[in-house]
Amino acid sequence: MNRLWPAAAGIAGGVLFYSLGIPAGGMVGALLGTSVAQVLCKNKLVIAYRVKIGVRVLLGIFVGMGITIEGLAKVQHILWPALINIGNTIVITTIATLVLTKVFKWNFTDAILSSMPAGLSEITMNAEDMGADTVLVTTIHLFRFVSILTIIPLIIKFFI
Amino acid sequence: MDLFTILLAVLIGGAGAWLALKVKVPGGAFLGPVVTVAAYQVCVGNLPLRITGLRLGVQIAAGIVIGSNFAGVSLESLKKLLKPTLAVSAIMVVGGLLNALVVHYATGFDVLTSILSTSFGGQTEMVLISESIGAEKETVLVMQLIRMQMVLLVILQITRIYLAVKAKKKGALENE
Repeated sequence: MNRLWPAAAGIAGGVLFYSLGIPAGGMVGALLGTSVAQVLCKNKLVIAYRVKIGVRVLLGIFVGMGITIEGLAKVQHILWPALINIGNTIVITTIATLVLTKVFKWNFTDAILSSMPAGLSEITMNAEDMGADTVLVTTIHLFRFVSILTIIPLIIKFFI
Repeated sequence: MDLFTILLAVLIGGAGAWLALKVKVPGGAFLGPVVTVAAYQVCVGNLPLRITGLRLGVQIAAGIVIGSNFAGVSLESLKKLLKPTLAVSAIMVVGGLLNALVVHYATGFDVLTSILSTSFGGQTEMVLISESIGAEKETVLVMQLIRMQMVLLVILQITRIYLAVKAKKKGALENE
């Protein structure tokens, strides 16, 4: 039963943030509630890999149902924005890597894997393959997720 | 609640996920259903699912799954990693917002779409946020997809090659 506390905290956080009108508040609140509870609780919530995949599939179905021909038509001129985005991504990744290696004296492998803005599971698998410290890399990426998924909706709600 | 529509959506989405995972597409469990369900909607017809609370339920499920990854993180490890963690998070948040500004002014994308297309959050999560605020989710999806695949298929592989060459040179020097 104790292992369900993080899930309960997630549901409570999700409902709270949703009712506050924060963009994607259900997700942001659930993420914050669950992650705080996971760090503080002795008994951790462990979600089976199949369940995680199942949730991702449901998310994909949900998002797919919202896709329209009109929306897809706007995507045809994506090359130039994509190139700008890729260029800036490389610059930002480089800056983060340099800060970790020069300021915090991390080794290059840990630093660059911690700085690459890619999916958590893909980066963790590659970190293991490449002999990086997976705890380090995972922690940095989890915090990146939490920071961005919390701050961006708040910026959108209060400043835009 | 239309049971047939739900089953059809799950079948189409499940097929997309299965195929994408089989072919080992990064993020395939999410992308596969997006592609197949969207393709069905565009080619055949809409799959409207009017289930009260579906959006909230989906968002909460996503948040709990991401938050559960903190199982391996302890207060002690957080204290040790606090400064580098804050530094990288700050760079990513600020860098992402600056990136959004550049994209907005260079391309004419609206501000919301620019921010969500360029933020370094998860692909799935950024699309979920764009869906909830009326940003152009198709644009966000494709921009995030391109960024993610480029990082995994290009930057990561270049890094692997660089580290392999470096290790070889180090080995050669040690043998001399």
